[in-house]
Amino acid sequence: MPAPYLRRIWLEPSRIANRAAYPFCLLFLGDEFELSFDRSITIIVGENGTGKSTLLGRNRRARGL
Amino acid sequence: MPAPYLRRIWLDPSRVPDPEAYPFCLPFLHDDFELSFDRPITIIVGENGSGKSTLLEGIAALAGYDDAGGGKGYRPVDHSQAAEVMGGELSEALRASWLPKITKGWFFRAETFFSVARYLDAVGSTSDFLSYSHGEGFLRFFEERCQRQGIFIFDEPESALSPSRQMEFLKLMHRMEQSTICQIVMATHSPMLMAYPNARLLRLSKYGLEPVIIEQTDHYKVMREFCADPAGFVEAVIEE
Repeated sequence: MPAPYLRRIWLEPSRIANRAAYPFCLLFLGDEFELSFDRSITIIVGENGTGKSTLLGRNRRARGL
Repeated sequence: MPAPYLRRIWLDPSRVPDPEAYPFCLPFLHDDFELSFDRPITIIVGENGSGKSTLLEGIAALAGYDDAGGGKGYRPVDHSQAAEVMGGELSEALRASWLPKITKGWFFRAETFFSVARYLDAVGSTSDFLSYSHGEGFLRFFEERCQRQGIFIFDEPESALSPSRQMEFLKLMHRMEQSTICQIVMATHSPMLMAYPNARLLRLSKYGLEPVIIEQTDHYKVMREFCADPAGFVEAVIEE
């Protein structure tokens, strides 16, 4: 199968313990958040602090470390 | 005394253990290498691999800073996992003239920022740098550290900064210059930072360091071409 392999991610609101806490308080993480990957390369741009790194999984707080 | 405090560095060939070994084999480090700092802000541009970081590490070590990043007295970085740093070896063969000798300040490297921030948070700094995003943490850190007298060394500070945060960084540089008590030595690939007025802009190549104007740099020429036609530019690059 050719890429992309990850096709879609979405938020499952029932799994969120605290909506007001980081990272779920990030503006883009509304209940209906979803992201479809329709090409093999996806590029995300955004201002510092918007949550790009958290989305990619690099942020240590988001990983609970 | 106003900045610059570090006035000149030069290589003392008699202190070079092995001219064939790194870092002394770097093409710009010939026997008569010297660098004069005639302005409070010195900006060094050069291709990857030209030795910019090693040169900055050497200057940082001369100032008494950890050559992996940090300030005097801070050893925040676990060197067993740090990228190889050669500035300490270089500094052994460098001589420096200061007016006066300053050891306050900071050596900032993007790749060790998180180690440094974790250390500062652990030792009870007033700011909790890690609770900010990457770029915001950088800027908070700069703002807190760069208000006092000192020599501040930045290795590619733009790496975590969006263009609008780089504009904030330009303002910080301006405040530092206006204070007259801050010397900045910076390596950058960012044309926006290179364009800082009144800075001494130097290009590092195998021939050594030479003054340039921003319009002569590859960084500027490439970005200008790119901005004129992003899609066409990238297509041409890919098909090369």
